[in-house]
Amino acid sequence: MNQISVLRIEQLSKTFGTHEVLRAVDFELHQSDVVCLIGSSGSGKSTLLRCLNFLEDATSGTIFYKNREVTRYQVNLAEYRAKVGMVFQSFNLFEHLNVLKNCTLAMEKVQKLNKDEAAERARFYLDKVGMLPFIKAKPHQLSGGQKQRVAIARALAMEPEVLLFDEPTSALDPQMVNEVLEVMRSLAEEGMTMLIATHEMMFARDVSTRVIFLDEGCILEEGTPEEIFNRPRHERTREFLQGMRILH
Amino acid sequence: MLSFWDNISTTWSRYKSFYLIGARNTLVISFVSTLIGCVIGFAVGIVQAIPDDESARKVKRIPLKIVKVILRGYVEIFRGTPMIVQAVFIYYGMRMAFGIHMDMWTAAFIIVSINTGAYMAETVRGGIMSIDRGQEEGAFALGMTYYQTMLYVILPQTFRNIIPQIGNNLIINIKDTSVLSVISITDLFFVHKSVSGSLYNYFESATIVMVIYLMMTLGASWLLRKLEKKIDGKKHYDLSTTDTLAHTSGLVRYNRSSKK
Repeated sequence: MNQISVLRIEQLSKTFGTHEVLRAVDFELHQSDVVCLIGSSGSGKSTLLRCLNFLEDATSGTIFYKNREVTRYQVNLAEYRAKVGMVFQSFNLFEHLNVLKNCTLAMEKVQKLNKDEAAERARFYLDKVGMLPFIKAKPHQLSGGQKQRVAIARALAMEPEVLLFDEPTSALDPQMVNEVLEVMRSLAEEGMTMLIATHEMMFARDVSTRVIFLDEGCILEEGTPEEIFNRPRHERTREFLQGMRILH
Repeated sequence: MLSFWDNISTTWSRYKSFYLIGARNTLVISFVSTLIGCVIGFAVGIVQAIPDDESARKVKRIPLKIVKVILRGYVEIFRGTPMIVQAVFIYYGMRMAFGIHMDMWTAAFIIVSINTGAYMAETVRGGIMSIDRGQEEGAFALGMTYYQTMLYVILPQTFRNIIPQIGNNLIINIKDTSVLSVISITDLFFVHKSVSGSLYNYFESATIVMVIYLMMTLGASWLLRKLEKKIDGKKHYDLSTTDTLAHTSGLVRYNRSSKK
């Protein structure tokens, strides 16, 4: 197993006022890992991902990217964020730009690629997610599944080392969930390092190399999908999975 | 009644050129000042919308706060006092207090611009705040800085959303430049006052002036609608594909003009 550490967090905590959302979370993400974060709403999955991308500032704790400490002020945040891509539940495509420009904007402004290079790379990744024919469409003209596939292509076009997915299918109609999961599945097969907060248990079971169960801001249980889904050690994990009708 | 229409037509034919000059002056002042006012409004609104980042260092926070207070004062003063008083205050006040003899045209542009700027500042701030936070986060997550995000993601959308409000300001300016007659600007209303003062045809002249004002404001709103449509772009999109079978599906359109 490949053991190059891509992301490592130590004792990461986050409080909103008096509400503790994350409590001293430790974990490590290796290259080509596909880790699914599961847990009920409010367990801290999204906050964890958002802290990793500095959309929220952790209250305490340390984040290491390839064994180098990352803080908001010490590293070049733009460079780090370009390497740690993020896909949101609500897509967050730029509403005023068409599909192609959604993908090329950050390449041109952050990575300083010229227009043609950026467009070529964008086309490559849009083709990968099956959205190449739609490059002239504006986001509001697309379905939810199509928007999410564009958002994935936009993140991929930055050629990141890791992709963080914040419940990428939670805002989608059931029939659109699969088209997005298929894209993510093929990324996993290509060896993309991914950290995915999800409620799609079947997907988590099939695709992940490791599953983390978060409960009230703590990592309660961590293991292979086999271990978590078939032989959960904790009562809370069992209750959660029963609630999701995975474990009977 | 017949004499009313006769009077209008004689007034118009005799003073046509004056009315047209007045209308032109009104249009020039209101268009140019709305434009400058928008620039001022964007500048002030953007600064006002900078979040007060509590984690930032004090060196950065204090100057920002001072600037914000000053800008807030500007907005409140110019929004909170009548433009007619501002016109007198600035035009005559500058002369009395500082001995600056300002050209009345310069004064007119300054007064209307900073007035519009004060209103636009709040409009822009509101427009920026109304953009979904997801847009900003989407840009941040791709590594864009606050300023890049503002410039390429938030402001273009803000601009689109506040066009109706810019239109409002333009129309208000077309009408409200009439108060500049207090500093002897020969705008449309000033012409009306002069013409009706010499002929005592208040009703007829007012009718002419009303129609001209209405034509100007209708024209202004038509122009802004066109701008909105242009920014929105096409309602539909063309599939771009090299699959020749798709060409028969009716989903791909050809650009006729480029084929010729």
